[in-house]
Amino acid sequence: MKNSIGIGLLSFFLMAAMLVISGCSVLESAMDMAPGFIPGVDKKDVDMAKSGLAVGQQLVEAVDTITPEQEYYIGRAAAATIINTYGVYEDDAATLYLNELGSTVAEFSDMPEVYSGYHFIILDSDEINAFATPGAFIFVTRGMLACCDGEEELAAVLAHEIAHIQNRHAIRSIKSSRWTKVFTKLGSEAAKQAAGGRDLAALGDMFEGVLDDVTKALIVNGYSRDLEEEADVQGVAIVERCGYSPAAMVAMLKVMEKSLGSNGGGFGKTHPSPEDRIETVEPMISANRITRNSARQSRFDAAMRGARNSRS
Amino acid sequence: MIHRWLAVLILLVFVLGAGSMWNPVFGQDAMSVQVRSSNVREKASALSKVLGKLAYGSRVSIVGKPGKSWIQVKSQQKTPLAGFMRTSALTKKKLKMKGTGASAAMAKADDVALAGKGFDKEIEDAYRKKNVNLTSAFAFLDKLEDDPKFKVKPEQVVEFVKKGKLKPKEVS
Ligand SMILES: [Zn+2]
Repeated sequence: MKNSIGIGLLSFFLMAAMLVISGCSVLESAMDMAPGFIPGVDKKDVDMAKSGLAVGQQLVEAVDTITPEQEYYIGRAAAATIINTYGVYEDDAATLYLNELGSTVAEFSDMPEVYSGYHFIILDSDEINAFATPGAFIFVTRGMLACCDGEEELAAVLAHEIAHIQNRHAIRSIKSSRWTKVFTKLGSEAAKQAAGGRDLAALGDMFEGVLDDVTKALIVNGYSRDLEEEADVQGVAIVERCGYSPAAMVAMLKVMEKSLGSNGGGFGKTHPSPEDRIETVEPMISANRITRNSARQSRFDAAMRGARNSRS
Repeated sequence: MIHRWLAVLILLVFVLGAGSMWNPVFGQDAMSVQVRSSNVREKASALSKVLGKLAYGSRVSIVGKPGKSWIQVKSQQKTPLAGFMRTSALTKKKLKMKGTGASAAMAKADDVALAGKGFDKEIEDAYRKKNVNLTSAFAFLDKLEDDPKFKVKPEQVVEFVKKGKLKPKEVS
């Protein structure tokens, strides 16, 4: 009997957990029915599970409250900070090619449409780095381009960044304490707006706080190992859907491994080592050979010659 | 005793079932466009013909069962546009627009005309004013977004795929 009470309680909390995930209020009332006919469950357990439900719902809704449009404005400001830090490599042909390739890769991701479209920018830096801000501003440095021998490898780099976007990793890097505040604020702002005014100063402070979390995660701290693995695994899936050889991801990481030795910072600081990343993606890849194509190689070479070879 | 366990089992099945049904689009017969402008296509494919565009806030009716990447829709306009849209372009939320302006008329969604938001153009403007060191960076972003030269159109993607001899495998 004691054991069955344990299982009963376990089932009940499993149910509560499911409710938090599903965030469904109809099911909440099902919990009220639980004491009495689920062994070992009383009113206290129900209240405990319900408070968990409230917290869970708030977090789900807080992330949900940030619309693609708001992500875009957070992303634009983060992008401006990145541009200000690294400088843009202005080369129209290279930028156009990068945007054509990137937009094509994004079409085959799980998030092909974002508020204002995907934008791809080359940074004038030898450091090996790439960033994806909320709202889909994706940056690659000249140093990163130099790790790519062809369109296939560059597609793999962009796919990894697009995977960060489709999982909203940058938005999720915002501290939970900040979330709670923003969530509450946006709720009260909606009410205030209906009445005509809004607290611009407070919203501005909040915007700066959010921005600070996002840019710190992007430039300084990086994401957790798990999130990077997720981006690599999904990145491989995206390039495969586009029709590129996924082996290009490994080829690019191998070049990066060699180059990072003499070129610290950037991905060396914010990402797992190329060696570890290769270990993650290699089992997913059936063919080790990259299928190249002369049309792709010549458009890549023509567009990227300057960016890959110049030194600042 | 058996009755109790049966009850737990039924509840669990019920809850698990509801959990797996949790999907941003499930059970919604109408949705809103949550991006500035979104394409309505002939088929559920990134390479298919674009029949028209719908602006932010436009409402669409869901036709049939939504897929992972695509939803068959019919726009709620006087002359409805019917076709396929991306799930990531749509939300079940009703997006408010200031005034009574018909969404159909908003070919190019005007930020100022949209209400009910937190971080928006006004907040960005205030931020720009405060951080003058970012002026040229923002100017570059404006140029990149507004210059038609860098705007990749759906036909360009089709061309890029074709010329590069790529054979994509799409998820519907
Ligand atoms: Zn990454």
